[in-house]
Amino acid sequence: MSWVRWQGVTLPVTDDEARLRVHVRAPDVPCPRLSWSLDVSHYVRAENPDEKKMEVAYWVDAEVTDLRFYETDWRRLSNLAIRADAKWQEAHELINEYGREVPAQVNVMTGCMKWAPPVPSLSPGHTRWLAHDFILRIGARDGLCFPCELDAWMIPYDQYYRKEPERLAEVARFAETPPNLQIITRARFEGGSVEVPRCKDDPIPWARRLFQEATGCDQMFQPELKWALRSTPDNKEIVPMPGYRSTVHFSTMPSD
Amino acid sequence: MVYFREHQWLLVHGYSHFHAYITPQKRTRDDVLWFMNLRYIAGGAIWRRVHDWERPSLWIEVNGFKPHLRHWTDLERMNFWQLYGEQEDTDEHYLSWRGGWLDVDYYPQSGTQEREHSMLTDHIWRVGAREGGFFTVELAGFADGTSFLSEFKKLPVGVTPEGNEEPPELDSDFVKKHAELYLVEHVPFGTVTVCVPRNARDVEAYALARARELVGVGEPEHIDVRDFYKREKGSENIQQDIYVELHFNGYFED
Repeated sequence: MSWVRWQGVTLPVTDDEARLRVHVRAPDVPCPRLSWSLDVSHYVRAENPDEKKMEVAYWVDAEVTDLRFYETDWRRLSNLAIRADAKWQEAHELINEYGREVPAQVNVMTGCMKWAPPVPSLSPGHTRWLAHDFILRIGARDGLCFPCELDAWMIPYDQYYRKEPERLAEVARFAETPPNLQIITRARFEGGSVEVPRCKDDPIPWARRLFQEATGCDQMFQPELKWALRSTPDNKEIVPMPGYRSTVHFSTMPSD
Repeated sequence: MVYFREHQWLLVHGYSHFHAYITPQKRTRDDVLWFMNLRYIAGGAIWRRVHDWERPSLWIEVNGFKPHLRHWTDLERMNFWQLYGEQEDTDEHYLSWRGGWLDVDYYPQSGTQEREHSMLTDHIWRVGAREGGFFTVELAGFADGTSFLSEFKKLPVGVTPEGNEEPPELDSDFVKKHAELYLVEHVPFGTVTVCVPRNARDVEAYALARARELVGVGEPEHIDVRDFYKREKGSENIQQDIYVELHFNGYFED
């Protein structure tokens, strides 16, 4: 079940579930190894009059890019609450191992098909939004699932980034107005990926061990191995490097 | 953590590392060119709406230092934690100085390329410890090392039980208070670049053998082979080397 209120308008409830995923960085990185993300795709269907069938009419895709959750047992996501105000943001600044800042943000894409019945808060085409102010509450675990609620104060993407820093008074404000995005949904821990340092043997057994140690998760199905890439000397092609670093993806569910 | 001017700084991982550079002319370990690069961007909540690449940034490079080493782990023994007074500033000291040169580039304005370049004339630095592939580095840079020394010499000297005078130690708090730039960071041994003659049969094997011989490296995590002449001109000749970059303790592409 997914319930979304966008710009003050409640959208029809859908059966969509949010996805919780984790990326485990290699043990040799200088930054926190865990990166948890939460994303929900709220897709509302309606009958397309041209095609005479039910299709996605409008949607809200929302992602919390990094929860800054570093516990080594995924079950401790239960009852996690994040109040992402300036103090929290400052305490959780992160530059990843490749030298890029990883902000903890809510990233939203909304969209509406031209043929769809009009919704006051959604304009045709795509729009992108960002928020640094958000409140995320995760409830008690039920198997691989967690109920969760997200309130966020979204800013249009083209107005978000600026050249000058915010003033202290701007930074101090938090949740002074009702949130313009509210989501209540159920999130399923779907799986994740783990980066494995170079090893002589098959990296998948080591990947399992690293993933288990970092997340406490024993359910690792459908492993998918991807070798690190590099450019050819003439820079014309990107090619994999078998035997070097790799990333292994796991699902927490066996294949159908 | 670095103290420089007014910003809170965030260390840019990946870019910040020790780097060794080996050309075909290098014959001994002492010939290897060593660098330590550190990069920072302004941090703190006020910067959250400015892209990381548009924020004020601080680029620090110590180049040309000469560690006494047989193996890259010997970097942990580096200690250049001493300044010479003017009367000691002789050619002999200059030539025997193995601590390298400090270059600092400060980009103070977000979204511009305006730059303050400084070769802080005096610097001291040392490695405190090693943990795996990471070294704890302490570095201080002074705009005027002579005035720092005169402040230092005002400190009371200690006296041993035998009655001998003991000069004060150059302790970190005192240095931090008087330096224009002061930092303590965990810096990985990151890359070795080997210039490989174009006629080498196997450029990667050649590069690895040279890096093993001169820096004592093990198996790299990643290898990049860059043939700039082939890329840019399409007409390479035998005198143009191929660059092989060996990555250790993670992987980073600039």
